[in-house]
Amino acid sequence: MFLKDSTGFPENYGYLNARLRAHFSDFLGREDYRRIASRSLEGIELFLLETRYGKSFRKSLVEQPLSTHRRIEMALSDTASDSLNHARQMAMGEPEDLMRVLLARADLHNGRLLLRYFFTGAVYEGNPVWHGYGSLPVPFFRQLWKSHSLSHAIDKCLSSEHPLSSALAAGCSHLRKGSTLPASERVFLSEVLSSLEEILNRHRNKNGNLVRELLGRSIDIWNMNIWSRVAADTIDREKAFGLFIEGGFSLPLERLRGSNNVSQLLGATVWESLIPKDSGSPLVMMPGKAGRLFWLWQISQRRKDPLGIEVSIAFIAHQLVEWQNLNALVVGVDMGLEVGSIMGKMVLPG
Amino acid sequence: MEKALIALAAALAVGIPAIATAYAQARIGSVGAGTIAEKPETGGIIIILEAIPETMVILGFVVAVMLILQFA
Repeated sequence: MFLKDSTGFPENYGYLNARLRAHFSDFLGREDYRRIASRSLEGIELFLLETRYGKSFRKSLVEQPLSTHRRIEMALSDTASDSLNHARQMAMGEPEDLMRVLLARADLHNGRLLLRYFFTGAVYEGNPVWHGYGSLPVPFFRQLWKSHSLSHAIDKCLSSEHPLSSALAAGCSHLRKGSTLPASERVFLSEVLSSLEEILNRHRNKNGNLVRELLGRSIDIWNMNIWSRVAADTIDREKAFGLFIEGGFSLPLERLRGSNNVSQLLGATVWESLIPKDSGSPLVMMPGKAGRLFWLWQISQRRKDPLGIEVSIAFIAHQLVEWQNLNALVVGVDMGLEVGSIMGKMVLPG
Repeated sequence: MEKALIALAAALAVGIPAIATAYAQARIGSVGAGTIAEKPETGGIIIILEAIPETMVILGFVVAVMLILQFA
């Protein structure tokens, strides 16, 4: 018991990390991407059939009459979700809790997708590609998607006792009251973050702090996004200040409110490398570049501590980046873009 | 009194390495189980790695025997 408390039960991490580290060799490398980018869509299909995506791909071939592009999209989504769910099932104790926090990004993605759907008021009979590795099950989001009305969706969210569905209900309620989309998304994000904070409060140690830092960096990106819109005069300054979220890792609210240029905002922070060398660089690109930097930071955690949450962070990021890269690649090939141009849109670790 | 101290020294010579070995083996064991689950071909290497900390207890045991034979 003493050892368990004083060491954070590292045996859990030992087993989990050993299994995850064995999977790192499955991820595609720069040369693999280059090779696939020079193929046609059918060539990509053949390539995927030979890889770990093959199983999901065959399933989508048999089950649904879809276009090649959509079939690849579904196979990528299914494989990535299966891989992340499998990783979570292997974890127990502290790593399981922390994985739950790390994988809540799926619920965030799905929730934001729904808020945007309800905001536009459009009716779309098809289903988007849901991220199926979060705490809330995909069928729950499918049902909400079909509800077509905010009131119905809110009732459905409230009937579930999950804290993240309550967070979504809060976001939808704001939207129903006539709030803007960013304001509703902010409510949803804040509610999700406070629910994740409750889990993290149970783990006040090095691993919990690292996950806290990761959430802080995500908040930084959200705040940077709002700040860049203010700086580009696309939203009202006073209203935008209310959209910032507290708890960022290296960009406190005072700094966000008081900075008039990018250097002032990002100087001497972990985001310093985003300060453009030339003044002509558009501000709207900043959150995108920050996102890329954030992914690379997560992947770089892989070798930091073989008996800590770092390996899980790197594994999850690597898996999601591969999914994102392959999606970009398929779209690029479909549009007939050059290999170099497609590669430029990817996040390539190492 | 002297005999009691020798016995205590011998016990410590075995006991402390035994605890350290158990701690090391627990870590190696869980990591090894994870590695073998993904790559069964690493089984032989893992067994060797699992056995390496055992030498600490053996050395401790040898020291304990030497203490007892020398002074008993």
